[in-house]
Amino acid sequence: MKALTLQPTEYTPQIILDPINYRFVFAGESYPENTFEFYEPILEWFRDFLSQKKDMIVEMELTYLNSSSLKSFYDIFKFLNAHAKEFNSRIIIQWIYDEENEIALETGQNMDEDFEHLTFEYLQKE
Amino acid sequence: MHTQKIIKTIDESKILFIYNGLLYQEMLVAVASKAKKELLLRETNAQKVNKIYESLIEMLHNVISYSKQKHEISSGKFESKGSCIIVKSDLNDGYGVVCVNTIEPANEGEIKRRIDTINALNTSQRKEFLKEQLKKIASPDTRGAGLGFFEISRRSHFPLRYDFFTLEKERYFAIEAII
Repeated sequence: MKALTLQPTEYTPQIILDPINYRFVFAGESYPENTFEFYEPILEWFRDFLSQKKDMIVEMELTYLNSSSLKSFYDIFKFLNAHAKEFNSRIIIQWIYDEENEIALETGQNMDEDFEHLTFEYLQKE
Repeated sequence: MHTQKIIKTIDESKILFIYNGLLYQEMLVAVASKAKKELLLRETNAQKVNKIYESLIEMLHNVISYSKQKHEISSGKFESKGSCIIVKSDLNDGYGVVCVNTIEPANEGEIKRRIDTINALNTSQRKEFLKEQLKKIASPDTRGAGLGFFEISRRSHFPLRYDFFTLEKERYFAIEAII
């Protein structure tokens, strides 16, 4: 399966979905104009990649998610959660946040509560 | 010349940043980035600056998506006319973040209902509200997640303020968050 990588822009995050090096990263700010259009291929990529049991760590270093990006990530996590439940996969969400960004931490904690089959790890940036 | 009057109004109103004109995604990025840079020169609380920046982005997206004066510039990309102002507020030693755009008068009731609903929520209700909205299936014809006002209110120290007014036969909507 091919990797999906996107360079960051001022309003979209860096995205690395690399099945060869086994790295899955979202980093930066997310407030595209057409959020659902932007994230649909990401969700599709996960649907293809996770057609069988796979353990994975997803690094989430998002400094800002606008409201529609929040919804898009909720939908991605919903899919990951369903996969983890169905295949008994261990999926870790590394939620990387800045000490001064209480909203980012709270956002992760809210997601955590809704997805019992995902393991959230909170890492404060150095 | 109205210059003196304009400068006096800006000073007396404690306006730190103002933009009035066309808004589209690239302009939104430029306006929000410029506002953040200006604020970082005056404000040492980085968390406060981030909250203002993030609320401004959410408000400006609302202007682009919901202004009566919006038009499609290319497939799925819109341009609208709107204004945003950041003022120094006496409340909580904070800042007022205001955005203004024209609206269809028929939408006034719905906007009011949405903001009043969010303003009335207590802490535990807020959490439930967020979860309910996130669980809803996004309709393909909507551009947002129905969470824009909520995300602004999360960053505001006080309930969101809003106003509707008429200017030269157009109906306007103004929203303010105190951060």
